[in-house]
Amino acid sequence: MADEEPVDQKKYLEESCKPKCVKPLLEYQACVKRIQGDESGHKHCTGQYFDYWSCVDKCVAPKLFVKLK
Amino acid sequence: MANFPHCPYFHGGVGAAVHCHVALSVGPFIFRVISVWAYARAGPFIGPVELAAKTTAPLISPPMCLSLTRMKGLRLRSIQPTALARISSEARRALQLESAPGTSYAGGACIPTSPTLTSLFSKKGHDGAGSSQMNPLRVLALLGAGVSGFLSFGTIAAADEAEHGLACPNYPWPHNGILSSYDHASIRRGHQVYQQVCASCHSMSLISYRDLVGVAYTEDEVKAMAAEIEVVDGPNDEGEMFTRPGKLSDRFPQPYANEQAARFANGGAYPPDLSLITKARHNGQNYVFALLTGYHDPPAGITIRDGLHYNPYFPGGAIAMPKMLIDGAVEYEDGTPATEAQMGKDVVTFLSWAAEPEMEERKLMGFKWIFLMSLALLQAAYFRRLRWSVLKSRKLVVDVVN
Repeated sequence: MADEEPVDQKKYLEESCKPKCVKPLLEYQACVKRIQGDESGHKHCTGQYFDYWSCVDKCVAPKLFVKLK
Repeated sequence: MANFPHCPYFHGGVGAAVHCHVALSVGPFIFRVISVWAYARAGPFIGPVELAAKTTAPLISPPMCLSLTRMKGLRLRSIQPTALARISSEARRALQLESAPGTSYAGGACIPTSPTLTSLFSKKGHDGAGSSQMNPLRVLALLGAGVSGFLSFGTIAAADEAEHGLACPNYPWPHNGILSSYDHASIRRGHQVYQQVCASCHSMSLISYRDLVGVAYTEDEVKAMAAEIEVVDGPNDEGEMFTRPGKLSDRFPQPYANEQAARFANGGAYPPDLSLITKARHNGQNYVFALLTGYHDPPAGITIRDGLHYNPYFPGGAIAMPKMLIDGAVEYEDGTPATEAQMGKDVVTFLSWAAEPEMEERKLMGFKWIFLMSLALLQAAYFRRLRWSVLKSRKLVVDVVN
C-alpha cells in the first residue's frame, strides 16, 4: 500500500458522523457541565453518553464495511 | 466478578438480580393465572351460533352442525322449533337429545353450550352479559393479559443502562445473506490476528489444526504451522511423557494450564475460550466487533479502577481486557492495511467460522430442502383435496325421528 500510516476507517467515519449526531452530543456536554464540581461521585452522564454513541453507531454501521477489504 | 455469559441481570449484584427476577416472574405470573382462570370460566367461544339460538333462526347448515355435534358426541337430530316447545324434559331425555353433559338444544338450533352459559341464557333480559361480545369474565381476561404484558415491559425498562451495556449496531457482514458464504481470505487474515494478538491469553481448545485445511490454508501450510508448536504426548514405552512437534490432529495450544493460572495472570479475570464466543453472546458477531473496536474514554462521572478498562459495550462497562487492536499491530501476508477496523472484521469472521464451520453447508441444505418441501406441500395439498372431495361434496338427508 502506498500510504505509510493508514487511517483507521472506523475512527474516520465516527468523526464524519459527528455533525449528524450533534443533538445528543450537546445533551452530553450539557450534562458534563451540570455535574462538574459534584463531590458525591454518584452523578454521571452514562445515559447521554449512550445516546450519543448509539446515534454514531447507527450512522457508521452501514458505511464501514464498504471501506474494509 | 464471575464471568457469566451475558446474564444481564447479574451485574448489579445479588440484590438487584433477586429483585429483578422476582418482579419479572411473580407479577406477570399472577396476572396470567388470573386471565387464564377468567377465560376458562368464560366458556368456549359460541359467537354467532348463540345469536341464532336466541332469535330462533333457522337451522345452521348441516356440515357445521355435524362437526359441532360430533365433537360433543351427540347424534345428529333436527327438530322443528314448534315441535321442540311441546316436548317435556323427560321425553327429551328419552329421545337421547342430551347425550353429552354440558350440551343442550336451544331454540331449535344445534349448539353445544357450557352449563354456565345455559344458566346465563335462562335469565330474562340478560342480553349484555350473556352474549359473546360483552362477557365480563372475558373482559377481565383481556385486561389481565394486557396488564401482565405491561408489567413485564415496565420492569425491564427500569434497569440500569450500563448494566446491560450499550446495544451494539448490526453490521452488514458479507456472510449474512441467505446464500452467502464466508469470506475465506478474511478467515485467513483473522486467524493470523488471533495467533499474533489473542492467543497469548485466549484459548480455542475446540479447534484443531486440521479444521483449517481447505478453509483458510493448504494442508502443507497447516502442517508447517502445527510443527512450530510443542505438544505433550505419551506415555512412551518407558512410561514417560514426552514432547513432540505438533501435528494436524492436535488442538490449538492453550496459553494457560488451567483456569486458575489464567485468572492469576490476568488480575482475577478469566479470558474466555473463543471457540464458540460468537454463539455464546447475544448478537455475538456484532457484539464482539463492537467490543473490540469500541474502547472509548469513559463518560463524565464514571471512574474505572486500576486494572480494568472502560468499554461501553461490555455489561457494567468495566472490562479486564485492554484495547488489543492497535493500527499496524499485525502485518498481513496479502498486504492489506491492518487498521483496527480491518483487524476487527477479520478476527470476527474467523471467530464466526470457528463457532459455525457448518454454516455454508447448512445454508445450501436449507435452501434445497425448503424448496423441495414447498413442492411436496403443493402436491400434498392437491392430493388431500382430491381424496376429500368425495366427502365434502356429499349431501346429507335429515329425517324427523318419531
